[in-house]
Amino acid sequence: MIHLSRLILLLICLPLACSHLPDIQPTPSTSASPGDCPVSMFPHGDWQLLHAIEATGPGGGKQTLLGLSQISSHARSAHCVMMTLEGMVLFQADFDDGALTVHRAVAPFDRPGMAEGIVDDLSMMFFEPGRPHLQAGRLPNGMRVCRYPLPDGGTQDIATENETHWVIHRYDRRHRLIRTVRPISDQGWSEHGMPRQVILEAHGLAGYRLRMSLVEAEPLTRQPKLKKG
Amino acid sequence: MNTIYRNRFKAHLLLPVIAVLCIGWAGSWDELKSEAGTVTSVKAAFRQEKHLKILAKPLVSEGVFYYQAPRSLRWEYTRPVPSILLMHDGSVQRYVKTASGLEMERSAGLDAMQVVLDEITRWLQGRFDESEMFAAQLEGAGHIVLTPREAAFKAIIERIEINLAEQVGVIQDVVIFESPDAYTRMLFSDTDLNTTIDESIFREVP
Repeated sequence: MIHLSRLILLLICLPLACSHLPDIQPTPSTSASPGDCPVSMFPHGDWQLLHAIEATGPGGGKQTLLGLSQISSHARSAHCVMMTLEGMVLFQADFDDGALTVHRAVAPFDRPGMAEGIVDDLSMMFFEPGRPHLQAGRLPNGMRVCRYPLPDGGTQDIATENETHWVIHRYDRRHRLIRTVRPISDQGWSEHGMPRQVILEAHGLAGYRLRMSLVEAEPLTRQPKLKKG
Repeated sequence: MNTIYRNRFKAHLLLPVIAVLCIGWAGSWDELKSEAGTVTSVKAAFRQEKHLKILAKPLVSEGVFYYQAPRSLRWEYTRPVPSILLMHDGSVQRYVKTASGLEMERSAGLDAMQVVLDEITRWLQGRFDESEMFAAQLEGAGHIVLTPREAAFKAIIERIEINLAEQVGVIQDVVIFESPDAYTRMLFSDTDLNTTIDESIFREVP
């Protein structure tokens, strides 16, 4: 008879043991050319974006915040501000290609690791991967995919069906799925070609979900359109 | 910071906004208390400008609020993100517009909003100088400066400056200073005092 605690341990370890990255079937047309990996979902140039962010926590509690982001794709830098709907700034930070400077962090944004987590999520949504892809091909569901290595040993897959149907999956170094980003296509697209609504899901026991609705998108330089991948 | 304290703390982030609900023009605290005591209800439109150093132009929100003594409030943003905060009969609810319409949000911080109502009641009676949260100074005619008493709160809000209009009970504008690089200005218009407000305003959303 298996002891209950061993059974629980076995059940906990089972997903770890089974974690693996989705198989990619190489195709002749997507062998290794960077041009075959679409990055049209990422804003190019300098932008100021205002989002209404509906955050749903692990317990199901919801809170809507305003998120202001000034991003530069060329510099891979961002200035981000999180505010209550009443305009009180809860979090303000600069991110400059790896260097993070927190200017303000009010509870719960002052928790250890919170600032880094916000920047990671923003980077995943707004910046194309900083390294060349390792693999390209098709997923079992038929979507085109490019697989990128991450500095922390993780992996990021960018899968596309067409310009408006895409999904980004991020895996940790143990190949566990930790983040998913996808647009809600029935919410349409802004005049600048950005999705009006994007959902980011953080998976795991302390998972959360961010539904980001685009309120305003303003080019800060002469970069009026997204680059087409 | 324990959970209860943190929730109360988060709820107090709304205090400076609500602090402006209903204050009469006055030249002294006694006059203020006397005049504020005559106000039983307020309805006004507002324009909220968020100024940040990084912004070339402020972020603008607009809305309308209703207050009915002793403890009913509706604080409604109409743009850019429609939302409604209702406080009535001991309950606090927030609704935010989503793709599927107005949805009620359930967050722990809302429960602590009752504390905010206690502050509002105090302010409505003009008893700013008795506030537990703010030290109040009446500077010149119709200019009030509120400074948080607690250091932790002061780290979030440096001070609030309120300019009263000539008409008793009407606010001209309010500026909430968070830091040298960040402040919020609220401008009020179309203020109606002591009119009858249907109770459903504080209970129902469209």
